[in-house]
Amino acid sequence: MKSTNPLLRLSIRIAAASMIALAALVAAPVGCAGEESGTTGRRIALEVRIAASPESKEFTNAKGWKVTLSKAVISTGALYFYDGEPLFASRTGGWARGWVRTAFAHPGHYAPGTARGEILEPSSADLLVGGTLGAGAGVSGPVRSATFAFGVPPRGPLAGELGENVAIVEGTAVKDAETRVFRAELRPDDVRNGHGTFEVEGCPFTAADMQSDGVVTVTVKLETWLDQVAFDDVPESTDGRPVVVPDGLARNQLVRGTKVAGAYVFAYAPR
Amino acid sequence: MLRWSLVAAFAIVCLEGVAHAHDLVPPRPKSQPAAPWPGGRAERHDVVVPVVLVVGEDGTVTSVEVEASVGPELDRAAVETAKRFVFEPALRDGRPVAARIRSVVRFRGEPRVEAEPRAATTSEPAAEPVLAPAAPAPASDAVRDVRVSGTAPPRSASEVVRGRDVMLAAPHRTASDALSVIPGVFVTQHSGEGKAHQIFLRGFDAVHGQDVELWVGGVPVNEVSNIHGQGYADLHFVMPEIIREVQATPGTYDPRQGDFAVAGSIRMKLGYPEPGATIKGTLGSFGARRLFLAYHPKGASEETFAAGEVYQTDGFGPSRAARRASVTAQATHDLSNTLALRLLASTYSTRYDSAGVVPALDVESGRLDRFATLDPRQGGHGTRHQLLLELHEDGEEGRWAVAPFVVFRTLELRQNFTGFSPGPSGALESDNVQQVNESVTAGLTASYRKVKKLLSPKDAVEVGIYGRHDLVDQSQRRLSELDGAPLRTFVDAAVRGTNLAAYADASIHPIERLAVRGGIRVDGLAYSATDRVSSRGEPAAARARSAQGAHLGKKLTLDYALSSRARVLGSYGEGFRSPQARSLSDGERTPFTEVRSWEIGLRYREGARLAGSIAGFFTDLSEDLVFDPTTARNERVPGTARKGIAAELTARAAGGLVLSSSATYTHASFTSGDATYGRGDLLPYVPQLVLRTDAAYKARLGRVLGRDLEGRVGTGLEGLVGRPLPFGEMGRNVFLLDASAGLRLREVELGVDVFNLLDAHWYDGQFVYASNFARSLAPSRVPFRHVTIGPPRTLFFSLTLYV
Repeated sequence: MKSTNPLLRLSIRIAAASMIALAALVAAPVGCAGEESGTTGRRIALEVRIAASPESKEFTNAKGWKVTLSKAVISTGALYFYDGEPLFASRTGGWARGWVRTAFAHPGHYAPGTARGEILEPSSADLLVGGTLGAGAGVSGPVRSATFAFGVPPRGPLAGELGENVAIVEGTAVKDAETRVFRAELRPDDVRNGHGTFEVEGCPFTAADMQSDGVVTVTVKLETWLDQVAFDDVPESTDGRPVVVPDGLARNQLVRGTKVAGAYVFAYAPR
Repeated sequence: MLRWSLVAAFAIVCLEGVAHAHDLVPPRPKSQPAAPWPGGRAERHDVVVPVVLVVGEDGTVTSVEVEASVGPELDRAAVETAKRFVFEPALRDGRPVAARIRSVVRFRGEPRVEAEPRAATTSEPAAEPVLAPAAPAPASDAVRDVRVSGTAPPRSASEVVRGRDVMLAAPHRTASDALSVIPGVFVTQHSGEGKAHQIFLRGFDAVHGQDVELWVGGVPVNEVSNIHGQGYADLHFVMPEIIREVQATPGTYDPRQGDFAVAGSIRMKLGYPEPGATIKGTLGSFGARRLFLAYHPKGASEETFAAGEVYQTDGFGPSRAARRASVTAQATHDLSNTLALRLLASTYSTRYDSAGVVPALDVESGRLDRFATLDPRQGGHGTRHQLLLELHEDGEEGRWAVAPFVVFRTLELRQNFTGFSPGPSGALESDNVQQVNESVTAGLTASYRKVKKLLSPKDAVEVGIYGRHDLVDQSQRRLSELDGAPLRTFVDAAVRGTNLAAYADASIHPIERLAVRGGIRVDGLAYSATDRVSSRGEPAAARARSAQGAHLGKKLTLDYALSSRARVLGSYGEGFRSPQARSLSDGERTPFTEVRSWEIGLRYREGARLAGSIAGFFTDLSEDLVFDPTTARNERVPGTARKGIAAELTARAAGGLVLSSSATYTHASFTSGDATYGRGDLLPYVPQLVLRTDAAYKARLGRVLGRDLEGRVGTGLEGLVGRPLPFGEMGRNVFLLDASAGLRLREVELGVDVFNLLDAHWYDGQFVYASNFARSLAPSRVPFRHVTIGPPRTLFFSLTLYV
């Protein structure tokens, strides 16, 4: 009768081969997704900047006042960028634009969709000079709208100048023979929305497909803020120094202007 | 001489393949001495030890291997006895050749009836067989029907059956953990020890069971339209000790596979082998305590047993305590030689806490302790009560079975994945949500299989039906942070589901080496849902809607024998994924996700010593479900495909060594795109490479107090490599090592189990979505990684008494 040693040797060979195979499997390359394939999307880094629109420095508002701004400082909070449509997305185009005005019976309901980017750190900036709010984060994909927020309390390089205000605008308004040197101070309660936050939802984001790191620029249209302000209610300056816009019609009109989603236009540019 | 005729019959059957090409005559027994009972301790019944012999050219036995172990002492006695067998050698073309055959060594029982042998000795071998205990003289052997049970031929190259030796090689805390011995399976537990595991298989994130059909003891486990997830399957009611066998059928190739069999099916058979009573007490890390009791009548089939457990733990961190109690009893009774009854009953209850998810960055940066919980009010409880009655008859020409069952289930979950979000007033409210699901399931399986010569005597046909009706009452409510009272109701609904199916299956052998197995299955599904609240959560007059549809699936397997040991199989199958009833619109034709699977591979088997397979597979879905970070639940996405390779090897060496290894690589991607996903993009969350090795060794160490001292060691190594996450990222790989060791002195056994022996810091579950646990007014809304922390090194010490 043959010895059982060959069987034992075979068993050991089988066991050894299995362990070697196991070791090879354990030592398999970490991660199996190649450069060419991966899940949908990428994380991207975004730098966020803010500035007033070119028209903000000098414009004539709807009330006929020619406004020249000398100062515009703002406090910002968390800004979010979404793939959902902005609040009043225009449905008209082509030949109808300019002929058929879009009528809104009541404000629409903003459905932001998926968040594609954000900057969470509060900051502050001089809008007339422009400034960088900081570094944000995002994921690749289309963006169409955004949420703007005032920072409460103010933070960043101009927090001291803002004090307890979320925005300060100074300038001169001239109409016929009337001149008003004004200073508008916006307090947190002025910019609080119906949900109790300091956000302005449904702001337009110039349609873009963010596929790489880039810069998001927030353009604040101060001409929209001041478009409906009748400066008649602002007292004249007796010493040439700006007069704080008092509570009243002009101030209310300014506050309403700051809540218009279209006053904050976002845009993306790849690096 | 009937006994030796049976041996010869085995020998003839075992000479597969060889006889096809040459004129072969198998070995014929000449002399087989009686097998002496080890230690002179005879049982009342016969014990049969199956062995594989190599019979030399001179008719003597040159090699003996035990094919299925009965016990170390009996195995050794069987080997010694078989070495003394003498045969007429096998002949090939008239010349003696060595041959490998299957045989048995029978240890004759010494029956209780003393008088009968006296009466039996007076009877001569008669033309009529006498059903009586065998007389001492071999010439008057009684005719006995031997019921041989086995596994049906595979439907694919990668189909596996895992027996107890592989299942118990490494320690497992639960039946869900034990599923990891199946090639390609990876399970995670992300919400407390009482919630169903999340199952990954071959590129599928089956969540809690939506894509894996699970059966235990012939009872379906998947729950229809469960509020937490379609196909929710909780296996915590099964104690690992009572799992006799697990059969895994990847793909959709078997007509018996129905709803939820998208990635495949897993069927557990229950049994307990240790005769008498078992009392096992366990103490472990983190205040773990467990008492396991079992009873298996001596001489009865392994399927007859009763077992129960009581378990509790304080958990390895805050909000991880758990308790459960479970009792399962199964009994089989032969009503006649061919007709048998099986009764299965079980009851189970659990209560557990859950730590929930934490932001990965907070843990990795050290801002948060890795075992912390961000909402300690998470957890739940559950119960399961079930009853099955199976009647089956195994005749010479066919087999039929009928098995009605009923299941009562209760599930209550409290979970908070997202922290806080603004409520109607604008103030931040806790996202702690309570889900309640109560269901009653009643159903029936029935089948009839008949040997029917179509092209060969081995052909067979089978028809079967399956019916199931589910009554479900479910709700989902937001809970107050202050007192846990329900604040708002999102779902309050009654759901009814009916699944009726029929299948026909045939197994045909057009030529000797080729088997063609295939058939069709038709499933009809009908749902109705009655909502008691509107979509805004306001009470509303009950709105009912219903939908129904049907699916026809074709299945085909070609099985070609390359040799007596190697076979190549090609398989094709069509399946479906059913929808959540509440997602359907009135009159909708129950939109199924169409599933098509293909596989081709090689199987190799060398008796019980060595078995393995390697296969390539491809599965195509018409549409799929992927976790959406915006809605924080699975949402429909475009079509997907999974392709990959699965390999596995199981080796058993003489002396009690068993080794089982597997590796499964899957590439899962979108086959079409939409606004969100691009064609060719990888599916997130599904692991790419799943590795598993189980190894165990048993040996007799010596004799103490007149008893054999047996030792055992075992280990399980699990690896997960490549876990794609959204936005092009990769989740952390996982490597875990479990080990166990034990010493048994017949009636007493000491054991130690260690889970995560290397104390790896690992993530159990990984998700990507936005949350606000910090109650920030300006939280991050861009999705980021959340994880559940895997358990650290955990020890269990147990003392077992076998009475």
